[in-house]
Amino acid sequence: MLFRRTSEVALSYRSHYLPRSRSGWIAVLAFLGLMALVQPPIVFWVDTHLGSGWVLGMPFLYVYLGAVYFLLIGVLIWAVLRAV
Amino acid sequence: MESWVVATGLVFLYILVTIVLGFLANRAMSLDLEDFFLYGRKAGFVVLYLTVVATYHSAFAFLGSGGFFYRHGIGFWEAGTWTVLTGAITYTLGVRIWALGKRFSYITPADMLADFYESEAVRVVTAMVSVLFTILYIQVQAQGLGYIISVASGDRISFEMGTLLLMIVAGGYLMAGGLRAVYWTDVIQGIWMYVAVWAGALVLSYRLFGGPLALWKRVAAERPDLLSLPGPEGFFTPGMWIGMSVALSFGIILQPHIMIRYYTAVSGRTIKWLGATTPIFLMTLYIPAAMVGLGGAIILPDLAIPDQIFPELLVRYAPAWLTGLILAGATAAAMSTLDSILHANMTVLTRDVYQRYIARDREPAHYVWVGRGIVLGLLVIGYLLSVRTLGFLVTLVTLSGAGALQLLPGILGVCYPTRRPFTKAGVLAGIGVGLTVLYVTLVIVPNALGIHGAIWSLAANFATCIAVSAFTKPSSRETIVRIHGAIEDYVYGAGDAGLEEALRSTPRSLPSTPHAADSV
Repeated sequence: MLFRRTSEVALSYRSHYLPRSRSGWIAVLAFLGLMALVQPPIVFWVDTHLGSGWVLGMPFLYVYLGAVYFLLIGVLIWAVLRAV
Repeated sequence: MESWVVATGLVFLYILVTIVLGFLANRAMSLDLEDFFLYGRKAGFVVLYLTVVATYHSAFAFLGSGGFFYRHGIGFWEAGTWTVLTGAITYTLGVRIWALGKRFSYITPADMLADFYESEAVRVVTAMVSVLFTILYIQVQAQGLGYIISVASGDRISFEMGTLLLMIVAGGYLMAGGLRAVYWTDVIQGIWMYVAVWAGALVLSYRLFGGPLALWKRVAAERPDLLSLPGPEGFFTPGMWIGMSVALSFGIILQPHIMIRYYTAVSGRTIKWLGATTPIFLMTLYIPAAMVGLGGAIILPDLAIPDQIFPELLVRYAPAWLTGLILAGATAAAMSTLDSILHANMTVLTRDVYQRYIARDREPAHYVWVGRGIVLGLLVIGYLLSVRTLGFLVTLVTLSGAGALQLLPGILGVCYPTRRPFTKAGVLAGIGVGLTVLYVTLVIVPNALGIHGAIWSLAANFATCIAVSAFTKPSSRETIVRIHGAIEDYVYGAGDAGLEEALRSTPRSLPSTPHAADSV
């Protein structure tokens, strides 16, 4: 049904780069926000100001990056579960 | 029993397992193009997951990543960003590539681009970029294999003989069972490499330091420069950090041996789960690599070739059985990438060159046999390249990582509908300018202003593509509506169910004749 429609009528061209649902917006903003935390300049600021610290016997920067990576994966899994 | 016998024996045991799997795949195979090239588009989550991660992580991840930590320190933990980005790209872009492949029977990346841009020139350029920038990885993986077997045997098996032997095995099971053999062996290879690298790193860290936490303390006390950015040699600048994130996520995904895997999934939901969960495997493999590299910098600080840190530590400090297990894992990492690149190049050359321009409308079995012949030719070329290092090849390998990245504007133009679609002239001009800028910013003025050449080239590519597309003629409205309509309906319509319904109601086919626009 849906495919037949596209051959008969013009496309609407609503942007495919912007989410079209609330869950989509949450997933995209959460992912981009977390990704910014592990990109310059934030990651370099973290290294300069907090890099000498230790967490659970490991360097702070190592734990910080690992924690954000797992949160990013969590966002992707949440998106699948919400059918984004 | 001597340690080299144990180590070599375990590597050969692993090789025997792959040969048996190749034989079984051959018995399950039918002489059908989609079966031989695309696993019949029936790959489920587990098989697809393990083949993607095993293919993504090559000998570099196994041997080279330890060397990177050894030389540049904790900054290489940045690897997590590109593995997570890889997952997100698979989730968003991969599912669109899968849907179009299923809907219109695409087999290669060039099929998709040529169809949308109505251009045989786009097909040829895409095929050339696909092959040129991955064929050299055959050489890299082959050299890794030769090195591994010579280390395991204590140089009793020469580098050249080891390379030849393992290339014949990988090419053999690929020719016997097609992509099915590659997938089945990748399942074993993916599990083996993951277990091996973790086991090796943990055993070494306990033997040499008393555990991972004690390892970190020793590194902080003796080499604090390895625990801060931008690293001892100042490698991880902000520009390099962002550049590597882009080049090693988009750049690897757009290589044909990864893109073709998207076509093989049984459903779009499989691709989404793949995107959400593959970063777990890809990223956590770098945790033991950090232990190996940083610990190695303390134990063996004056190693001439940092990439050899893992095997050097194993040979000196690990029991023979563990060394064998891990070197078999390294073999798995190299072979799983080698077989996938061989398969991708075979598919591109058979489909985009032979079937399109040399012998059309033959029986599927004919193309399967031609594909096998191409694999044989690639093996010969790969072997010759691996035992002889030529100057221009070093340059091409430098370019390889970001070469496939130049297909990004064209692929986004297909998969993301916009009011002003990119044109074939825009895409071709963008690729040309992008490759030129890539050469300049990686070879002549490496990473100018501290920014990775991949970023420079991609920016130039996009700017050119957008500018040229604004003044040139797009594809026909019928084609744009057909393909962008399919994307719109799949992503925002009925999804997998709607796609299946569409396939039942309309035949799947590609345009069978060269595009008229190119002959004008």
